[in-house]
Amino acid sequence: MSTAPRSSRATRVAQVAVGLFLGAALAFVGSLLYHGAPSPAKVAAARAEHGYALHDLGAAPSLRGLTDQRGQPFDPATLKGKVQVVSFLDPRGTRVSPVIGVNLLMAVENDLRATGTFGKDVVFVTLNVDPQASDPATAASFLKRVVGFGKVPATADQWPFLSGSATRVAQVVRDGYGVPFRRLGGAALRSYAARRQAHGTYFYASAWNPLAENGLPTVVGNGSLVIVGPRGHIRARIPRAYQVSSVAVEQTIDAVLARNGH
Amino acid sequence: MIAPRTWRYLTLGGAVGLLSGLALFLWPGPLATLAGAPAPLPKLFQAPSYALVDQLDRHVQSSAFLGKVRVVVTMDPYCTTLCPLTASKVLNLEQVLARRHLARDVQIVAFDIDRATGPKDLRAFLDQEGVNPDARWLAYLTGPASTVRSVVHDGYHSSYYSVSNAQAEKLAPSTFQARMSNPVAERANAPFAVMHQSPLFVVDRKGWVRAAFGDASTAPTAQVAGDVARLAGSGG
Repeated sequence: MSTAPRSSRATRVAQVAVGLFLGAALAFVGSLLYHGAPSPAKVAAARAEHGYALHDLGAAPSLRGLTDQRGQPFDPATLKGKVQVVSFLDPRGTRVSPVIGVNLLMAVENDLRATGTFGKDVVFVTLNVDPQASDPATAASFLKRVVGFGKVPATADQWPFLSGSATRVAQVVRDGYGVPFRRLGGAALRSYAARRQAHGTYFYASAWNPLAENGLPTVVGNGSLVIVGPRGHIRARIPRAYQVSSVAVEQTIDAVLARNGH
Repeated sequence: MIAPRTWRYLTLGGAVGLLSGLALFLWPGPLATLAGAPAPLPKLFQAPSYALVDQLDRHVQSSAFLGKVRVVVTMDPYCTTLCPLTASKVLNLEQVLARRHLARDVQIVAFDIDRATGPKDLRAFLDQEGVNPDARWLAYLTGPASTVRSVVHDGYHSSYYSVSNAQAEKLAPSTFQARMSNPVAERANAPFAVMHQSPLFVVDRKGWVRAAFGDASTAPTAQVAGDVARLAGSGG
């Protein structure tokens, strides 16, 4: 009388337990999928804490045919074996260029100097994205007056600021580094500003720059930073560098150096 | 072949397991974290209380913001370094929050840390930086220097101090802050400058500071908006 019902009860309990387990497992997997979706907030948090993810984004472009801030032809061989922090600045710019130059690059340079790596293991390379309006002398003046507050912040070997023909610069910056900068004015600039404002990605502030000239087109889309590894491959692209902390950039540089045995 | 009765018990167990599992793994808590959810934002400290005036010279009490998630920043209308960048960040953040339908849940609060300024300067600075001074989403607050200090310095642990313009010039190269254009400051030609931090805090509906960023201008907009969304959504 007693064995059959007990066995049947045990079977029912086991069946419910298996169902409970399967249901909970399904819920767990569903939650993983739900939480695991890469939201912009998660990506940004990961970047802020750990620096930018490293990839092999292909070979960096050749910098042959460009001229440094002294007006001398640039020799790309000087970059061999070094990590390059590549920026795209407008020497007459009053938007992101002074902010990237001072708030980010000068802060990073200061920390790299403290560790003895600036110029030795890591160099800065800046491309002049408005060579029509700014020659190498203007690039040198921008570095000294705007970025260095009256003092040259680095030698041309440690921080070459490269100019060239508009065609050559566009080839290097747009095609080579993948930075889609443009010169805009009038209605095109207003339309660009309206689009960025609507997306919450517009740079509203205006920086002091004694080299600025009224009436020139505005360079836009040049706010990225590119990190190139010692073997000449692009390892990270950092968008909107004017609102990135120096710590995030330094962690990215450290990661590149660590992967190359430094 | 599985008997219909067996199916019934399996289904019953599966349904209960699925529902309770979803509740446990999706509800903010340790199990949700185990299942990949971001950890709940910590309660850092209680935001200070205050009674100040805003950019339109209206009296404002901190209790008026209870029930809303707050994004808190500091801005000096005579600042020529970080504050225009903070204003730019605040404008973009407001746009992102509006796009995410969070505007109603959020109040952006800015404290004026310059003892020489008043509501008129705040309005002029906002207008210059592209912010409508009449906008309800922003409360730009000022008041007696001692009151503001008790809120910003003692309450939010954000330091600031005045130096002569000559001292500020000397310090400029070591602060790594680009000089920003600020016609309001140029017109005022104040005899001193305020050296300050520019943090950004996210405060929950009950007045707890839940996230802090050292520099508002480099605080990732998406991350701040994400924190706001979490606090607005969780009722926190």
